[in-house]
Order: sequence, then structure tokens, then C-alpha cells
Amino acid sequence: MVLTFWEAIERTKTGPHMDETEFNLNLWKIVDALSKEYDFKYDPDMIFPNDNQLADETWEAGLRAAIELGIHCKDTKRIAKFSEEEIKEFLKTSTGKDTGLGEGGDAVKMLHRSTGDDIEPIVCAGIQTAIWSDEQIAYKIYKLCAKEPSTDGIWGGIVEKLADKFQVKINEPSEVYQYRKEVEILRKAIKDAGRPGIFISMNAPSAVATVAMADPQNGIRRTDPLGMGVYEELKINYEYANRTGFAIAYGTKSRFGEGHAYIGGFSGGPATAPIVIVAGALLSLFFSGADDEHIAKYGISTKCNSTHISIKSRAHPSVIYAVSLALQAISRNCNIPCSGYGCDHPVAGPGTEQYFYESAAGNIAQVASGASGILGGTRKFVVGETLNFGSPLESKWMGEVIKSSSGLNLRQANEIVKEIYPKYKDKLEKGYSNGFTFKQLYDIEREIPKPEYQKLYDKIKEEFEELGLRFKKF
Amino acid sequence: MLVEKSIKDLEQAILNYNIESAKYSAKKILDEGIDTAAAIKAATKAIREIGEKFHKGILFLPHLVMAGDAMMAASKILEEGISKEKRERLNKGNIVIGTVQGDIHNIGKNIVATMLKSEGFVVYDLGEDVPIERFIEKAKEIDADIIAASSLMTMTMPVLKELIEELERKDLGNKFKVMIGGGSITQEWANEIGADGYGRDGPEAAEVAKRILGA
Repeated sequence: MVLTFWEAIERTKTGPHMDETEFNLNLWKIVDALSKEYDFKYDPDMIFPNDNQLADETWEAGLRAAIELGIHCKDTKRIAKFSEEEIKEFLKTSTGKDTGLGEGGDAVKMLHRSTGDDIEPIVCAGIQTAIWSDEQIAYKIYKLCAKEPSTDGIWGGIVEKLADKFQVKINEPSEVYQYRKEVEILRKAIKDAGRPGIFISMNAPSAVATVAMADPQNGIRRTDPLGMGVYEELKINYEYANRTGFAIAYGTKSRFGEGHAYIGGFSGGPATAPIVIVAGALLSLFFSGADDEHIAKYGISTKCNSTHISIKSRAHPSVIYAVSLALQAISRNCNIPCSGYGCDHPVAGPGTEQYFYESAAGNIAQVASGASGILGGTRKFVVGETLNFGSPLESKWMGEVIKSSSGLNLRQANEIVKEIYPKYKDKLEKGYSNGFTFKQLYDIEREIPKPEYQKLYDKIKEEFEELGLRFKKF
Repeated sequence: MLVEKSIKDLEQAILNYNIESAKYSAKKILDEGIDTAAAIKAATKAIREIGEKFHKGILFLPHLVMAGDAMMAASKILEEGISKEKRERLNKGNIVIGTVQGDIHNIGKNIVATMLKSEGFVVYDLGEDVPIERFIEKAKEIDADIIAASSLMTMTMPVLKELIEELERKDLGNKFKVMIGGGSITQEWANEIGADGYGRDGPEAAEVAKRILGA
């Protein structure tokens, strides 16, 4: 029997006491020692590895780190520890799928994928954390994103001001109100797009606003992801765990964990970070809210995630390397579907060549590495206060690239990413463009990209075709 | 010769992230009557070396934290040998730092706090999810020179603007300088809301703090 969420939460209250800084430094010491023991080295020229032994050793090191470290709870300042047998119970129980995403004809199954698998990964597009000027714009963008047939789910953003007047703020009634309104807009938009059952991914900053979005008719349904297991570098806090507590009561079908490492943070560099990601992807299963009955019925999944501490782009080679290796390690050693975020944090903004390159580099690498889904949406970082950043064409790009990358083996994928990387590498820290708004990129009346943007899209697509990416028809 | 060796030992202890050894070297420097200001200068040089390697991606946050801890432990001992006046001269300024209310991201803020400490600022870290009032209370309590506030999320960016407005309302706009940073912040936005400084990352934030205070 797998350990339940409630038993795991109990351990956050009874486990050994440890200050967060001490835990962080201990995390580093353990993964550094493991990395030296296995002789893990990072070669930046590699982009991402194609080495089964390295992937298997990363799995082994991640499992050992998980057992030794446990999860630190920020609220109780205690460590919840789990044994190897308890972790392996999840691996034994997993059915190799997560069937809780979407409903009716729009429902999708997230399946375990091997490296280079032909199975198409699940794509959650849309513009995550975007700030909209008004509800009409939000509705239009959502609707056009949902119309993209290569996508399976959609992220939402938030309107900046309530009633065009009051700033929406976290931890205030405006957050609860506007997130609730936002999901209603999103629900209507996907219905009007003709895809009423595709899954919605909306995660408000606070648990109370997230919970307020739940509504089988007009809001977050039981077939939309809602819980959130673990927060950054093997830590949990109750604000996040509260969402899972609610997801269990509500009957949310998709239950998942997530491992995260900061490149340059306490997880160290790209040689050590994959150990932390694997450890987190395993330990977070205890906080997913899934028990035996749930797993038998709907399955369970996990995620691999990493951020560089000073470079925003997830298309930086160190991030591509760490996440790809962690995905390969998990994909090869258990049958739990494991998804990634692809490149939801490009530095370059929508409407630029660099955006397309960064987005594709992160996505292609993760698909070839066995990601069961790419779930981050198209553009998480909004720069400054510019509103209505982005357009549905980025969702199309995300979906087309991801689905068309299935079947590429690690070597083929690496060759493509190696060709793309030089096109943006000098503009990862400086010299990139923040991109353009919906209005600048789209003919809003006719709901189509402006000719120059469409021309750019077609040109980039041709470039990728020449590199060996065979685009599927949707 | 003895002076050089003791100071070199302190530098080495920081470069090796060794708190006990840094404390031992600091005590020895005091016992031997060596100029403590020179020792602090050498310790700062060591921490800068770590900072540069961190910035280049050769070293990581744990190294920066461990070296910072070693330096802080040594500085506490060395300060005993410095007159109050000289200590005040060595202190580049008091800074209250935190992530604004509603935002629980802390890694960037932690890096900035460590860099500021290593550059000779006295830093009071309020942690994450810090209400505006708490920033102001603490700044008043410790007679801060700078309030450094961070926001990663776009939805918490307005809190930075409100912090500046609240300081103005309380007639404290000239008393405390405000530095801001975080993933979604830009120099343009910092200018727009009237912040005194913006730092893209840890090393830049330390430079901005020095510039603001003329340190």
C-alpha cells in the first residue's frame, strides 16, 4: 500500500527538526558527494546527454538522495523522511498512465514514454501568468489558443484590474474574485472554440483563490489538474499542500508530484541538479494526494522542473541538460509518466525569432528524453507591466513542435538542438527582445496573425524542417 | 611576516568555507594585535573572489552562503578589536531586505542579501511574504539606510509601488532609499515608480547599494 497524503503530512509535523538553511546546505553536501562518487561531469558542448548508464546512475543517485534527505516543511521546520520501500511502493503501484486530464471527446491520457518514443506527449499550451487589459481580450486569446488542434490543455492568465479600476492583488478579495471570473471566461472560451472538455491549468498564487476556482460547471473540474505537491528544491509548505488537501476532497482525478532544482542554487550545477530533480519527482509523490484506489482508477504522474538562478531562459543549455537527464533517468527506471515544462521561460518575447528557437530547443530535448507531457504553456515571464503579451500562434508552435518531435531519438533531437542553440546563445542574458503584444501580432477582428508574423512563423518552420523535424498535420 | 600569515590564514579559511578556522584566525589576529580593519579588508577580498566565481557559474549558492557564514563569524570577532567609530566607518550601511507580501520566492533575495553582507552592509533579512508595514517598522527600528524589496511575480509588482507611496505618505521618502529587484522587474519600471535603485542580480544589487549611499 502506498503511504497516503495524510500520513506524509503527519511526518512534516513529527519528523526531525531542521532549520531551512541547514537543510539547504545539507542538500548540497549530499548531492555533491553523490556526484563525486558517480563521477558525474557536465559537458556544455553536449547540450543534453545520450548515455543510458549516466541516466541509470542518475536515477540511483536521485533515489539515494531522496531517502537520505526527505522533504523539508517550511511551516514546521521539520523533515518528512521516507524509506526506499515506501518510495518503491509508488513505482510498483503505478499503472503507467494518468487518465485524469480533460473529459468527453477532449479527454487525453498521459502515458509513460520511453526516450525517443513514438507516443505523442500531452501539450498544455496557453499563456501562463499573462496579465490582460480586459476580459474581452482574455476571452479572445483563450479561444484562439484552444482552437489549436495540436494542444490538449490550456493555461490561463489574469485581468489586471477588477471592473477596470481596482488592481487585482494577491491575498486580497480581488485575487479570489478575479481568478474565479478568469476561469469562467476560460471555460466559456474553450466551449466556444468547440473543445469544451480540454483540461484547464490554472493555479492562483494563493490556495484560497485556487480553491475558489473549483466548480464542475463553470470552473476547474475534477478533470483539471489542481493540486501542487512540492515547492522548490525538496521543500513543501502548507499553502501549497492545502491545494492537494482540497483536490482530494473535491475528487480531482489527475494527481501528480514535481521535482525541482535551481541551477546555481543549493542543487549546484548541471552535474548535480538532475539528482535533486529525480529525488524531488519521487518524494513529491507522497504529497500528490494519490492512494492505492486512486492510482488503480486514474493513475499518477510526476514532473521534472529546473530554473537557472540568474538566467531566465529554460533554453539555457544547463537547464536543458539537467531536466533532460532527469527525464531520461525516470523514464528508463519506472513506469510513472513524467512531464516537463519544455521552455515556458524563454527570455525572448513573442513575435521574435529567438522566441521560436528557445521554445523549440527546450521542448524537443524533453520530448526525446521521454517526457509524457509538456505542460508549461508558452510564456511565463512577463516583463514589466506590459499587458496582453503574446498570441495564440506561440501555442500553435508549442503544440506542433512537441507532437512532431515524438519519435525523434536522443541523437536526432540533439543534432537539431545543437543547430538551434548557436542562434540564440549570445542573447540569453543581454540583447534579447521582450517581444510584442497580441494587438501588435494579430489582426484581432479577423482573429488571424498579421501577415508579417505569419511569414516569420512559416520561415522558422521551414528552417526546422530543413534540420530534420518532420511536422505533422493537425 | 606574522601579520601576513594570519591574514592569509583568514582569507584561506573563507575560501575553504571553514567557519571554525575563520574564527580561529580572527581570534589570532586580535591576540596578535594586528590591524583588524586590514583583516576585514582581506576577508572582503576573499568573499569577492567567491562572488565572482559564483557569478561566472563556477561556484554555486551553497559556496556563497558557506563563505558568507565564515566571513560573518570572523567579522564578529574582529569587530571587538575595532573602536565604535571605526566600526561605524566600516559599516557601509544598514539594509532591510525582504520579498513582498504575497510572494514566497526567496532565492534571488537570499543571493542579494549575501552579496550585500559580503560588501560590508549590515543586512536585516525579513524573509518572504513581508507586509509593507513590517518593512517600514524594521527600517525605523534599525535606522536603515536602504529598504531592499523583491518581487518575482507580476501580480506582486504593485506592492513595490505601494511601498514607495506609503513611505511618501509617512514622510519617510527621504529617510529610506528603496532598492527593488526580482524576475519581472525592469530598470524602466523602477524609474517609473520612483525607486532609488534596481539590481538585476546579486553583484549588481551590491554595486547599486554602494552607489546610492556613496559608499
